[in-house]
Amino acid sequence: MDASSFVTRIRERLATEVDIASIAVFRVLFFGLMCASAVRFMAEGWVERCFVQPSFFFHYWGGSFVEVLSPTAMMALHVVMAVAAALACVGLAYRIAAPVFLMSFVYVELCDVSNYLNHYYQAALLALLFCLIPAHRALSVDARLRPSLKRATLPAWCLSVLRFQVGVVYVFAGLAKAQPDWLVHGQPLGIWLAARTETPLLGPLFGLPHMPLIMSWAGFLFDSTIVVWLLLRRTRPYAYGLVIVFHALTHVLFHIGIFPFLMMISALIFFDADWPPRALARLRQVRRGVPKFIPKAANATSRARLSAPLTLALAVYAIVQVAVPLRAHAYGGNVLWHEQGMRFSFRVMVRSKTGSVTYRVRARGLVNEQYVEPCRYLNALQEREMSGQPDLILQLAHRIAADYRARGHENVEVRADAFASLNGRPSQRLLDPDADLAAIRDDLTPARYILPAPSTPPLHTPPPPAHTVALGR
Amino acid sequence: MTFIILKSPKTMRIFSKPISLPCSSRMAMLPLVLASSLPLALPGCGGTEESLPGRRSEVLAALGTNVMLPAYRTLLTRATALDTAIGTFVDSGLAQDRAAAQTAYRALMESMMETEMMTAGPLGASTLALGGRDYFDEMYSWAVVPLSLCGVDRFLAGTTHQDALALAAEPLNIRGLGAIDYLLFVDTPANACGPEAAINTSGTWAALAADPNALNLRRAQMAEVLSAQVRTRAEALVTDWDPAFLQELTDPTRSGALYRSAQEGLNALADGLFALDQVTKDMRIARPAGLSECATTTCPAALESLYAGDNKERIRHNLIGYRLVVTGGDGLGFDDLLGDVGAGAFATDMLAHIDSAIAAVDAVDGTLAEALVSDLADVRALHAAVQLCTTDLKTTFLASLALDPPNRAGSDND
Repeated sequence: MDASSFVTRIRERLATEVDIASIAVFRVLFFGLMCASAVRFMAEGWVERCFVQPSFFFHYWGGSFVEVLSPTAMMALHVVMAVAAALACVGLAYRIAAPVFLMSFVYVELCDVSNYLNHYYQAALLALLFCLIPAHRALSVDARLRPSLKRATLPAWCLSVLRFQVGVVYVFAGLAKAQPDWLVHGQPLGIWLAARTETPLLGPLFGLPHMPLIMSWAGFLFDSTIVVWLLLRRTRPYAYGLVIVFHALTHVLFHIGIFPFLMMISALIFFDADWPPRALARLRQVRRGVPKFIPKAANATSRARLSAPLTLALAVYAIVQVAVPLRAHAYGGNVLWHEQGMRFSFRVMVRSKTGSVTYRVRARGLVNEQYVEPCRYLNALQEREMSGQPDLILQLAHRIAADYRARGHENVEVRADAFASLNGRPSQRLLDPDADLAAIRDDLTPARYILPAPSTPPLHTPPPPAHTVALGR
Repeated sequence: MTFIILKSPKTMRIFSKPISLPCSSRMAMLPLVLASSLPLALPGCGGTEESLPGRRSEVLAALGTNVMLPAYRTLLTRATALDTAIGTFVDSGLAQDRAAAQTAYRALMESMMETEMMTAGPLGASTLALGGRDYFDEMYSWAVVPLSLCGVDRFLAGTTHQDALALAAEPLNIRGLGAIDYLLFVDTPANACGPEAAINTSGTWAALAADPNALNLRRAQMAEVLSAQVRTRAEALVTDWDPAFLQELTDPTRSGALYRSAQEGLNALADGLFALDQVTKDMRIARPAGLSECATTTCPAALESLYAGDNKERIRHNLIGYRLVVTGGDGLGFDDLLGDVGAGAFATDMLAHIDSAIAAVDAVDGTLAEALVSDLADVRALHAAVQLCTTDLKTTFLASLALDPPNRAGSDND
């Protein structure tokens, strides 16, 4: 088969009609979860904490134009986000609600890098795809109000692109675990599990000597292969069972918010497109003896092809989604240390990193070198996030320099005593203490002000100690 | 290995494209299933592997029982002693009784400085600590709000300077041990207000200052009211702790417990240690030493105690309190947990850094106020030594024990 006919076959397959049901159910569950997430964000007082308390916000590279709005406007934006998600969930005014949700969600996320979470990024991508997919043509108020909208099928690309997006998260989360800290030393899982040995029922297991390594390998195998098992019809039910168990466990063990639920919902997309009516029919059959579900005839014989622009757009999207997480490799070194290329790469829960940063400012007119603590600008959560991420340390250094210049000082130089501990290693300097951060531009090139990653192995959790022996003091 | 191409109707489609897979896909999934289920299977392996018991509960209970509650009891004893000593001075007006009250004050401040590192529960701020009842800030609020010496003098010159209720209604910045520091140690008949202040323009203060002994007695009388309030807070602290709050540490997993786990309880205790960073290092040392928020070589006005002059001792006792929590005194402490998780070498380094910082305090010549003039290098060396301790705290200590920095409530990760 030559390349041309291969592409043609793909275009034909992507144009094949498939049952809309699974996409519609995914839409309902996804936007329902997003609505709950927005409500939770407001109810927990996080709007105030994240967007009102801080006096400084970290911008994404190239995104300095995004400004945090007034407290009232930020709260209103979250209300809009929740309402839009609710409308998209029920499929009312979907073509407006989905983009409004996407825009409000992305705006909020762009306001401050320190709020970045992988699952927020994934949610934004899924919301983007839902803006492009006519997922409201079934199981929606819109379709009920306007029967002409109603469709029983959608082109296969709609399903494929969602599967692709979900698959990307798992695969890259798996690849991120293919490194010595995780697979050889069982860290940072060892650190986290040691703190959870008193968890009811499961806690005693976490204290077993080799448990971190066993669970690390289990996590690695799960993330890196689960997509395959979910795609295989014969293994799918078992694989989905594992998905439930795995994410339920992560929900119990870690504070990862909606992520486990997002992935449990997302993994449903790997089931056959007509799984919802099948499941419903089976349920009815069991309950009332209703005849077995007969699938709608798909347009299998159609020779329609996906349009060239759409094919190209999908290809570009797929390439970007693969390339963006891989960009970290272009920087070399340990991405968990220098963090260049870390965001948008789905390196989920692979590092335990804590840091300490103190800025030192010199300027004409200052008698002494002045120490500036980040807490003067940041709240505790921002400081925690910043202290392990060099580009954020650089951004705050620029702000400090600007403040000193605004006070009339010239020749302002800002240096940082930045230390970090990665996966329990003894802390070491993260940044060159002699580098004048005020003079360094924030760009995407490899950062020379970041010192090399530690070469020592991570914390090694030993076998159970003899508890009668206390450390000498 | 045999491969098959799966085709419709049993086709597995990845993006609508058939792919090759091992002939038994269920078998291929076996490693994943085995790896995932291994953790659940292990308990059935004949008990050859010993499970690491949760020493975190033991450490939490030990710190509450052996370190915190005894420290609070000492605080109460010293608060009572101060109250008694000031009362004696008020009754006698004798210089030696004033000196005894001053000694009692310094002893109480040593306890306060040690417990400043132990602000989990009732001693902590109600807005920050679970179970916090603001006792520390009510007793001593210097780190929260600067003392208003003029406010103290205004109240002193008024008609209600011995009225406990009226004083309790005043803001924190004219109450507590900060005000006692001023009232018990100041020797000048002048007041801290500007000439335009009402107590000066009305002649009220001039009338008081005309008799220095009467002024000192009046100051002692107000200090007595304040010390009684401090004692009451210390009593409440011990009462709240024994037995109710102590149970939060000795049995954190019971139904209705404040902390949902020993780990959360330990995190609350570790939060208190951060006072070494924000209060000791930044406020007590960096500012007067001219290293932070200071436009001149040094900023003596930023010294904590301008009258009792025991700034150095306060820093020392901050470090002693910090060390106590880390080591647990003679019992279990955080250092034991560090050893459990394989960070024993770090624990040794951490303690060495604390000891070096204490030695750096002792290396400062004279009082801190004097050293700002004559021994600034040693003051700055002290800052560097304490910074080493706080770097340990914020990095490897937190990371090794999976603890979060303070104010972590309500955040997600991934």
